[in-house]
Amino acid sequence: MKPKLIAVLALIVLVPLAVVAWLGAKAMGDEQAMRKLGFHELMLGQLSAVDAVLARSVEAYRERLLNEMQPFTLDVDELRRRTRNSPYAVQFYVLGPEDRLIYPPVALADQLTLDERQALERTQQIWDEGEISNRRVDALDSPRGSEYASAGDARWHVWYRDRGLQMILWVREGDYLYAAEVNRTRLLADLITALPETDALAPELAEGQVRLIDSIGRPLYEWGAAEPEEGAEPDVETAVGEPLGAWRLEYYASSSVAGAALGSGLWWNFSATWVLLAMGVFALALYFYREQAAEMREASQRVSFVNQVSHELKTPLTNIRMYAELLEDNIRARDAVEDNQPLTRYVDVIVFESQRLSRLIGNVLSFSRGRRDALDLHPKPGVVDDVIRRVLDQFEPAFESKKVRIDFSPGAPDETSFDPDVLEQILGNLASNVEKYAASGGVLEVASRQEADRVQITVQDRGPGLSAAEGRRVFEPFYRVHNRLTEGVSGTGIGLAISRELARLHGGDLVLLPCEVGARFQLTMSCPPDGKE
Amino acid sequence: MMFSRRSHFYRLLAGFSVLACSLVSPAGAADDSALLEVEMSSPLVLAGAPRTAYLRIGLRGLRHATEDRAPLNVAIVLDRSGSMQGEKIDEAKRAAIAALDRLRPDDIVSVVSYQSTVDVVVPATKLRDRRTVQDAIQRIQASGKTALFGGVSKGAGELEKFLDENRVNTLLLLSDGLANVGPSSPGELRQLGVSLARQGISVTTIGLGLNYNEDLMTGLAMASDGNHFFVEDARDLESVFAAEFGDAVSVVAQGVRIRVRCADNVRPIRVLGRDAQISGQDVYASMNQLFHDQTRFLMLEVEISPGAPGRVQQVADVEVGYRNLMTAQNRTLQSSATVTAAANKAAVERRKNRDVAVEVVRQIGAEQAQAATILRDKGKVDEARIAFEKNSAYLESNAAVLKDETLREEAVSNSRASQKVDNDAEWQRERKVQQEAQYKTRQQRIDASPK
Amino acid sequence: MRVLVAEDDANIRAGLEEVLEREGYETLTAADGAEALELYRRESPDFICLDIMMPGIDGYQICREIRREDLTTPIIFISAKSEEVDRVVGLELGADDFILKPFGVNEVLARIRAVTRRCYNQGRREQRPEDFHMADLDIVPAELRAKRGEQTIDLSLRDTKILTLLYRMSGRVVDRNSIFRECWGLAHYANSRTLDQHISQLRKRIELDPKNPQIIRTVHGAGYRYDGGG
Repeated sequence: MKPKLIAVLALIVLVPLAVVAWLGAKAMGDEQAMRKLGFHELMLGQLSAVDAVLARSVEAYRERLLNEMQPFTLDVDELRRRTRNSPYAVQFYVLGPEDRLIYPPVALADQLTLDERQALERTQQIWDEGEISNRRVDALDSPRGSEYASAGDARWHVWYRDRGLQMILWVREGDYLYAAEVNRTRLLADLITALPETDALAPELAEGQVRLIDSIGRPLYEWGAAEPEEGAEPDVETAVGEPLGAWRLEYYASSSVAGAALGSGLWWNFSATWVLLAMGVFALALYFYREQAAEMREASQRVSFVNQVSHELKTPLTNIRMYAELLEDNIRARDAVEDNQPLTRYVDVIVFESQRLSRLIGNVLSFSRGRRDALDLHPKPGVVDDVIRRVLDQFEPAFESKKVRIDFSPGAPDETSFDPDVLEQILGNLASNVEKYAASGGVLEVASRQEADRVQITVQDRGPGLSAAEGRRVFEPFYRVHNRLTEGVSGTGIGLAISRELARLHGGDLVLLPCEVGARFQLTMSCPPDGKE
Repeated sequence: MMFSRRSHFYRLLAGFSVLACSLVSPAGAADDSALLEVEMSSPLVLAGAPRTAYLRIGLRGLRHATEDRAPLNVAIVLDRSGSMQGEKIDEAKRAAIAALDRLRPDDIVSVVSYQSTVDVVVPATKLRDRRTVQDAIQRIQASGKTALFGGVSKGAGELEKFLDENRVNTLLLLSDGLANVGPSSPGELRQLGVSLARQGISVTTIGLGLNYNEDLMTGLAMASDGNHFFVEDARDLESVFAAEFGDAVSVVAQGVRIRVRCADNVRPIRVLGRDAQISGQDVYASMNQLFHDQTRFLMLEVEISPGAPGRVQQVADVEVGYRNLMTAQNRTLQSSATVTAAANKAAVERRKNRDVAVEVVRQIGAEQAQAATILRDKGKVDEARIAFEKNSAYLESNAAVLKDETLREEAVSNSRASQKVDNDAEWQRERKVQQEAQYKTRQQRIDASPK
Repeated sequence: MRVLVAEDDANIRAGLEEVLEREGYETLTAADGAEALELYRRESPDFICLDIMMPGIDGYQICREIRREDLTTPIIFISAKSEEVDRVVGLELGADDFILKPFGVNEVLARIRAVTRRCYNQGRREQRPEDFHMADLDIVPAELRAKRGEQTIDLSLRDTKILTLLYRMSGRVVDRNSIFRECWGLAHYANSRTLDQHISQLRKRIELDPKNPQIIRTVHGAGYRYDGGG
């Protein structure tokens, strides 16, 4: 019983825990994926915020350049002065009608300054091939269509030279195109000024690093406290918006941040919760187990107490029965000499009742043993009819006093192997029922039949009989289902249940047969001919 | 130690210059904090075919009557990369903190430190609470790589917050190593320096130890017209910082724009030793700052077609615009130079301006030394040695002719360089010495105590 | 035949003793294990009734001790618990039979008779008594039975002794004292009433008409007599 209980409890504990662990792991996996996604989104958000900073800086730079370009002029001296003094542009350019360069004044080649010559070397191709001037702004490019001529419509032209990004801001004003070539180092310095410092990362990213990377993969600027390992791959990267589209932003999470963001803390939390749950469930299981064990101990104590008492009852009962019988013998012996009618009756009652008490105790013990699967057979050689006769003899005085006639048709006279105690107990129960409930029928018919290794005994009364419903339940022990060994013992409580159990144990059965009047029980037992045992 | 010796050398040199300049009538008025002096290498030029001559434009900072000075806007940008660990960073911090003592509460200071990443340790602020600034500097720890460009950018950003033409806007950059995060070529840094200079920001660079990139550091300083120092021993940082802050507090004029308009028959050839723009007959150059009791020069090589003997030839009109920091006004100085065509070559030689001649030789010597350095950089050790030797001989012979000790010293320096090109380790140091010396020469600056 | 009864309950012991003696057995009684062993060794009973639960040495142990010396003397266990009997049988201690408490007199008699028959049939110690005829009755003392045609009549040991005595003395009057001495033993005080009752009960079972007995006839004032012949 205990191992079974432990197994059941273990199942009750382990299955939910396993299910929780599985679901948890699954949820954690999902959560982790979500977090990873969230982390990625967060990073992207951060990087796009950085990109917005860059865009603002570029816009500010554009404003500064525009300020320096305006008022628009064709005066070469003024343009030279501007070029000389501009912190933001390395060279200004002006293109006239038909995209002729007005400034620097290529027409006067010998008057070009060294800087101007170098600038033209850098940009000659652009002017020659009309890379900028051929770009007619169409409606798609500008929401204001042909009205774009205002200074706000300055546009970037970007190209690559000297392993780096080169930028020209240009604006078309009437027939002229005014352009400013960006001092790219200064632009970068301004961008860097606008970018965060070492520690200026969002708290979520605190332990990482962001890098601004140029078009040839060279880091231009870094911030964030955690230096990534050499050759580490960025966790998130995004391109910088135009005109710096060739640049990109990379985020390197430090392992601890990545770990935290990707839920190592989450795992810990889950594990801790699971362990707590497991402990709780185990504690509960242990509690139930102990309760159950205590109950079972109590029950088995009760059973063993009943057993003990029942056994203790046997010794006095033996004496009562034995001495009553001796007394009866004595009285009977004197019958011949004196009239001892009342004494005989008294003794009969004592003997009969002690026999009944024996049967009840036998039933109780059988029942409790049956509960423990401890019912055993003790087959011995004997004659079935003899046992039947002996039982009927026991009941004779009681039936006589209730005017019940016993009608025995013996049919099992051959010696065979069976448990006489079991047979006696079954028949005793059946006869006792008749005596209690069916005495009104006035007759008890018992018939035995023996064939091969089976013995069949029918016990028929002419009493009130049993309804169909009662018939079905008559073999159920205590069919009020109160699991108390002492209840119902005197009634049909366990007598028939035990009887049937014993019959089945004996390789047969006890059934209630349908009949017109009264009740008809049929007992079959497997009784191999003697000697086979 | 290198620095102090040099400084002494310049002060010595100054004595001669001022004496020489006294021959020329200075242009300037009471409201000016600068004096413009324009001299020719010789007032005479041999008549006939076009001749090469040199025009020296000198600008002298005048000590103001009061002890007042222009307020500063200083960004101190400190390298705190791993190589700075230990004594270097400690000395740098000590020097920076000590330099603060020279500043007034209305000066604006900011401190930026950089390694792989950049920190604005002290955002630009008026130096009212010295303690906080000192503590912030004290907390700087060294580690990581060298984001020099980022450091300069952030420092410039801090300066820009309070950029004021009436303040002395200076960025002081200290580095002991090679920039390895962000742009790191001398060209790129020079471009940044140019841009900053145009906003009135000068960048002074201090190279510490033997591992910094002197081309980058001198290029940045040169482009922005700042100072450059080679400090071999970190313990000298304090005196270098002191000198730089001493310079900064003695600035009397800044945003100096020079325009030289050459007359007909005069063709501008080149400007010696510094960046300038020659556009037709016009030559443009700028200087960022002018200290009091300091004279700075612009050396212009021209080709004069003198015409007939006796003819007075207009050479150039010089116009200098600047911001007088004492009065917070923009001032313009004008002057001009003439030469007279002479038939007699001896007369030309006799009237030769020795100061200008020395300066010309010095600038040419510097150019040749630079060329020799480039040869050495290309691995042409022998050619470099010969170039240094030749240069030494050139300086030596001119020193003899012109009786100038400074030229002799430079001849010795070149001779020393010629001996060190063979040894990589020695050359690494010598190159820094050469670059610093050449830079000083090219700055065309004479510090002089008032007469 | 001598039976050793080892039983700690005095009443059961006395009851069994009376039942056995009434049946015609000589009984030896022991109240505990040690006494039982001692009596067994001293008296060598024909069979033994052994209670399992006894103070001191219990029934199992006695059984084991006896079986070590003697494999044949039948042992009948008396027990309140069938589980205990299981062990006796299961352990193959060599018990021959068992009687479960509470038992009735008839059950005890049935078991005792069965063992007695076995004793006779196995031919130990006492020779199997010979069958004989009295009138129309076949007496089989070894089976403790008598047969009349198809009818089988169970007899007690004492019954067979009485019938055997009367058969041996066929035609002669056997006086009450002689019967008592022969069939009850010397220990019994001769009680004519007891004897008469027993004869009366016996007659009820073996005589065709007990009121007019043909086998055991009363010789008034003298005793009983079997006329013999057939």
